[in-house]
Amino acid sequence: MRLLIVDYLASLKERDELDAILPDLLTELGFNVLSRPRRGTAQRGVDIAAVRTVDGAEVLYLFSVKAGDLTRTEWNGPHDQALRPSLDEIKDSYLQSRVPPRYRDAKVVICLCFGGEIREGVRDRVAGYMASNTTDRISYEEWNGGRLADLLLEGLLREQVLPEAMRTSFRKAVALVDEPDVSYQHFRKVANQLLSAGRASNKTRVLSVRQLSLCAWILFVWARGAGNVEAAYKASELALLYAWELRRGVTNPKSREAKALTLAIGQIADLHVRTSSELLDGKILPAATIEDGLSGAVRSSTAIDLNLALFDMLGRVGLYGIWLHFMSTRAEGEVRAALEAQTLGVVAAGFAMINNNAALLLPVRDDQAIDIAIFLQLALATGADGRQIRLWLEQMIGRLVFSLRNRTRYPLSSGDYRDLIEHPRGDADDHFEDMTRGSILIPTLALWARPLGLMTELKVLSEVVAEDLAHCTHQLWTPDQTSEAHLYIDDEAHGYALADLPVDADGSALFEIVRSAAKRLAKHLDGLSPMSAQIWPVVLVACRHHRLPVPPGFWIEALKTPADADPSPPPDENAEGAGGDEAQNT
Amino acid sequence: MASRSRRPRSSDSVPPTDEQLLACFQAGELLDEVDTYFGLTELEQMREVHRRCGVLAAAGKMDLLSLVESGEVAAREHRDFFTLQHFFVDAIPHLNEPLLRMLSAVDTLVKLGGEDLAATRPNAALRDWLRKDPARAEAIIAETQAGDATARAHLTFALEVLADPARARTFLESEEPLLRASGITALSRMPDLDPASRSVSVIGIGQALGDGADDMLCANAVEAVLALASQEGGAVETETILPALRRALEARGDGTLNRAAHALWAYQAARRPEVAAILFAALLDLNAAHKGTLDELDLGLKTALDSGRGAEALPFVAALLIKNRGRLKARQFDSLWNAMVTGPEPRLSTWIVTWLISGEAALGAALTEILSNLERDERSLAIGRAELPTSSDELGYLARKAVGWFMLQPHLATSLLVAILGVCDEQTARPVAGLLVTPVLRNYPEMRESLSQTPAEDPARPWIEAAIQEHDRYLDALKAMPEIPELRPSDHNRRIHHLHQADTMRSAHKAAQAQSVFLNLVHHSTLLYGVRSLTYVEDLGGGARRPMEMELGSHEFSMMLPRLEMLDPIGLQLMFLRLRGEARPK
Repeated sequence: MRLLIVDYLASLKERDELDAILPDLLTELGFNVLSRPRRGTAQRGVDIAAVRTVDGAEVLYLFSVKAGDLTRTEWNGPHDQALRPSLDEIKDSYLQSRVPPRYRDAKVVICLCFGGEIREGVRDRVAGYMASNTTDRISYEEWNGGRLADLLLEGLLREQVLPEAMRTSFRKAVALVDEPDVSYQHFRKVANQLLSAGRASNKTRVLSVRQLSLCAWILFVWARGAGNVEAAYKASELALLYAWELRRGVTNPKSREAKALTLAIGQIADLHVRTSSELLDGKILPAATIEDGLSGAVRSSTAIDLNLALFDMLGRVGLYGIWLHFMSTRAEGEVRAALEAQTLGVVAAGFAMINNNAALLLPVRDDQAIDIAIFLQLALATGADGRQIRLWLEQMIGRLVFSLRNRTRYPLSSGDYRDLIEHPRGDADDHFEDMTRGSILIPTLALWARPLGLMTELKVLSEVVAEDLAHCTHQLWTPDQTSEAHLYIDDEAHGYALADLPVDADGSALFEIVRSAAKRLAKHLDGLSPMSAQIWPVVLVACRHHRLPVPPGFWIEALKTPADADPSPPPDENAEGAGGDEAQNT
Repeated sequence: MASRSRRPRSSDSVPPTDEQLLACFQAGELLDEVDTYFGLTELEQMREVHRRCGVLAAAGKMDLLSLVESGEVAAREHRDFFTLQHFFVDAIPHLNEPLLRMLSAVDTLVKLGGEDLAATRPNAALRDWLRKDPARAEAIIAETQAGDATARAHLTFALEVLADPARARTFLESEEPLLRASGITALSRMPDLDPASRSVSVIGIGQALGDGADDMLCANAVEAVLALASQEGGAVETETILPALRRALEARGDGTLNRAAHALWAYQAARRPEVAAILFAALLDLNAAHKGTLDELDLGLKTALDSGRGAEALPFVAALLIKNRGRLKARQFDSLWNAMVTGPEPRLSTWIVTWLISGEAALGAALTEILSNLERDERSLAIGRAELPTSSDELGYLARKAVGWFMLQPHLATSLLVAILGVCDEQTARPVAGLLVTPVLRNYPEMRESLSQTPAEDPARPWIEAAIQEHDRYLDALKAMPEIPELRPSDHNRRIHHLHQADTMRSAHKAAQAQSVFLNLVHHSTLLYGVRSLTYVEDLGGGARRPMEMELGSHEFSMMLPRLEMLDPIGLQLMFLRLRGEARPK
C-alpha cells in the first residue's frame, strides 16, 4: 500500500493535484488549516498555511508545494514557480506582513513539500539553504513523497478506517485499471464500505468523503499513467454521488462538518471534471472531427459495440459541457469567458462527433435516450444552433421509423448485451413485442420534433407507434418524494414513471401531458438537495451513472412553441420551473 | 439409375451352361444368380446369359414371366430390382409369349421401377419384341380396337414398330383422347422421310387437339409437331407448324409448357425465329414452382444462347423474372448463366448494362445473384465501353445502379465505374468518381490496388487517381488516430460476442453439412490430433488389410464485407434502397 501511494504522489503532474489532498491530510493530522491553495501563484510563496500545537505551543507551518521530484530547475530555475524564490519570498514578504497577528510570535516551520524526492544533484544546495536560513524562530522541514505517504497511512488511510479488506479491493482497483470494468467493481466495493462507515456520525462522514476523494484521486493518477482513465471516470462519478449522499445527511448546513464536506465534494467534483477533461479533451474531442475516427477507435467488428461506445461517450461529452457551463456561470471576467468558450467548443465537438460517426444516428438500446437527452440539455443550456439539432433528430426519427417498419436493428428496451448481439432473433411478433415493450426514446424524440418543425417525421412516427407499437409503454421518468433517499446511491427503485404517453401526430397532446406532469411534480425535482444547493449537474451525473432518464422538468419548458399557452400553476403549490433558468429555446 | 454392386464369387468366371440355368430355375434360384451376375464380371458375358435365358424360355424350358407374375421380382429389395430389370430387358425380346401376358408383365416391370428414370426400359424391350414379329403389333391394334385396356395402353409401341404414318394418323380422329395421344406420340417417334406426309401429320395433330383443353394431348402435340418438323428429309413449312403449335400451347397447361421448354433445346425446328417466339410467349406463363420445367427451360435458353439467339433468350428471361419477382430465382437457370459468364465478354457486358439500366429491381437482383461467383473469384469485368449508353444522364444512372446492385461485389462495381469514367464527360465524371470514393473505396479499401492497375493511358485514369487521393486522405486521418482504450468493449462483452459467433458458425456448419450430397456416401472419421492419418483398410475382395496414408489439407473461404456493415448498417440498407429503387431517367 505504501508503495502504491508513494508512486501515486510521485506521479502527480501538477502542483494543484498535490494541493487537492494536502489540506485534508493536514486536517486529519490535527493541523488547523488557515489558508488553502489558490489557483495561480502562491501567496507570497506560501501555498498552505496551517497551525499545530507542538509541546503546548502553537507552531505556524508554511507549505510551499511542488509536484514531482525537486530538480535543479524546480529548486532555482528561471521560472517563477521555482521553490527557492518562493522560500525567499516567504522570508522576505510573507513573514513580514502576512502572518496573522495571533501567530506573529509563534515559531515557524517552512515546509518544502513535493510529491517526489530531492534529486541528488540539488540535495546539497537545499540542505545548505535550509541550514543557513534556520534561526531560533524559523526552521525548515522536507515533506517529500515518502513522508506524505507515511502521513497518509497514519491519517486518512490508517488501518482503523481503511481495513485490510478495503485496502485489498483498492489495490486491485488500481492494479487492474487496464480492465476498467473489473477495476471499477473493486473501487465500488471500497466506496460502498466507505459509504456505510461514513453514516456513523458527522465526523465519519467527513472522513469517508475525504477517503473517497483520495482513493478516487489515486485511481485517476494511476489510470492516467496507464493511458486508460475509463475506470477512473466511472469512479469519479460514483465518488461524487456517494459524497453527496453523505453530505445530505448533515442537517446543519452551517456546521464545521457541513463546510468540510462541501469543500471535499468540491474537490471530488473537480476531480470528476479533470478526469472528464483527460478523457474528452485529451482523446475524444480531438478525434471528433475525423470521419469515422471514433468509430474505428472502438476496435470492434460489431456495429453494436460501436453504437454502445459512442452514445456513452456522447452522454459524457454532454455532461462535461454541462459542468463547464455551470462553472462558467459562477465565474467572472476572463475565467468566465474562457469557460464559456470551452463549453461552446465541447458542443461543437459533440456535433462533429455526430456528423462524423453514423452510429450516432440511431441508438441500439432505448435507454441511450438518456445520453441523447444529456447532450440535448447541453445544447439547450448553451443555446446551440437549432439547425444542427434538427438535422440530427430528423435523421434519427427517419432511421427509427425505417428500422421499426422493417423489424431490423430497431432499438431494444433490453439492456442485456446478449439480446443486442443476437438482435433481431427473427421478425416474429412475440419477439418484437418483447423487445419493444417500453420506450423513453420515442416520446423524447416526439417532444423534440415538434418545436424543431419536424412535423412530417412526427406524423410518420405517430403512425408507426399506432400501427406497430400498440403494445409499447411510452414513458418518461421524474423524481418522487423518495428519490432524494435513493437517487445518488441507486439502492432501490424510485420516482414516477410518466406512463402511457400518447404519441400523437402533431405532438401537442404529448407536450401538454408531459408539461403538466412536470409542473405537478416539480416540487420533487426542486426538492432534491443538489437543486436546492444549486449544484444541479449532480442530478444529471446521477441520471447518467445510474441510467435514469433526465427528468422532463429540466427541459420541457424549452420545447414549447408559440402556440402553447403558459400553463396555470397547480392548486396550492408554487409553480416554479425546475432547471428552467438553464434551458433556452432553440 | 439405382444399382448395387455385389461381390462376384471369386471362384466363378465361366458362364453357366443351359443345363445349369435350367437347374437353377427349377431350384428357384435363378433370381439369386441374376443378382450375383452369375459370378461373371464381363457385361457382355452377363447379357449373353440373359439372352440365353430368353431363348430357353421361348423354347418352353423355363417360364420367366412367372417370376414377375408370382411376385418374386417384386419381393426383392428395391436396390436389387434394377439388376433384375436388366435381366428381363435382355431376355424379353427373345421370348415367345401370348401378347396380353407379355404386355401385362412389361407393365408390372415398369411399375416396379417407380419414379426412377430407368423405370421405362422394359418398354424398349417390348418394342424390340414387337419388331421381331409385326403380327404382334397388329394384334395390339386389333385388341385396342376391340377395347382391350392393356392393349390400348401399348398402342403407341405397336404403331411405332409398324412405322406407318398413315396408319398412325387414323387414330388422330379417334373419339378417345388416349388413342389420339398414342397416334400423336407414335408419329413423333417414327421416321417419315416424306415432308408432305409429315406436313399432313402436323396438320392432323393440330386438328386432333379439339378445343385444346387436354393438357396431356397438347403436351404430346408440342413434342410431336416439333419432332416431325425437325426430321431430316425436307423441311416442314413454318406456316404449317405454327397453327398446330398455337393450338397446342393455347391452354398453357403445365405438362404442355414442360414439353415446350424441352422442345427449345431438343428440336432443331424450335430454333426457327417464329417458332421460338411462340414457345417463349407461352413459357412466360409457366408456373415458377415447377422445377422440372425450369430445368428444361434452362437447357433451352442455353441452347438458344449458344446458337447465337441470345437476343431472343435474354429478353425472355428478363420478362420472366420481372413477371415472377419474388417467386423465381435467377439461379434456376444455372446453365444459361454459366454460358453467359464464360462466354464472350462483349456479350456479357451488354447483358449486364442492359439489365442494370432497365431499372427493374428483379433484374438487378438477378444480376447480383448470378454474378456473385465472379466476385468470389475476385474477378473484374472488362466492360466494353462501346456497350455503354451515350447520354450523361444514363451514364450517371448506370453508375448508381452498379453501386446499388453490386455493393457486395466490389470488383464488378469498380469495373463498371471505371468503364463509365472512361467515356463520360467531366460533369458526369465528378459524381461517378465520388461513388468510387464513397461507397466503393470507403467500404472496400482493398479495391485501391485493383484501381491502381488501370493503365496510365486510360481516359478514366485521372479520375481514378483523384478518387484514390481522396480515399488516401481519409485513411491517413484514420491511421493518425491514437489508441483510445476507453472506447473498447469490455472483456465480458467480447466473450459474449465470441460465444455467439462460435454458436452461429457451428449452426451454419451443421446446416451446410445437411445439404452435402457427399456426406451420406462416405465414412466419417474425426481426427483429434495430427496433420496426417494412417488407416488400415479392408478391400472388397477380402484379404489382408493394407495401410493407407493421407495428408490432411485445409479448406478455407473468405469474403469481403462492406465496412458500412460495421460502421453504419442502417445507412447501408438505406443506401441500397435508394440506389436500387431509383427510377430510370426519362
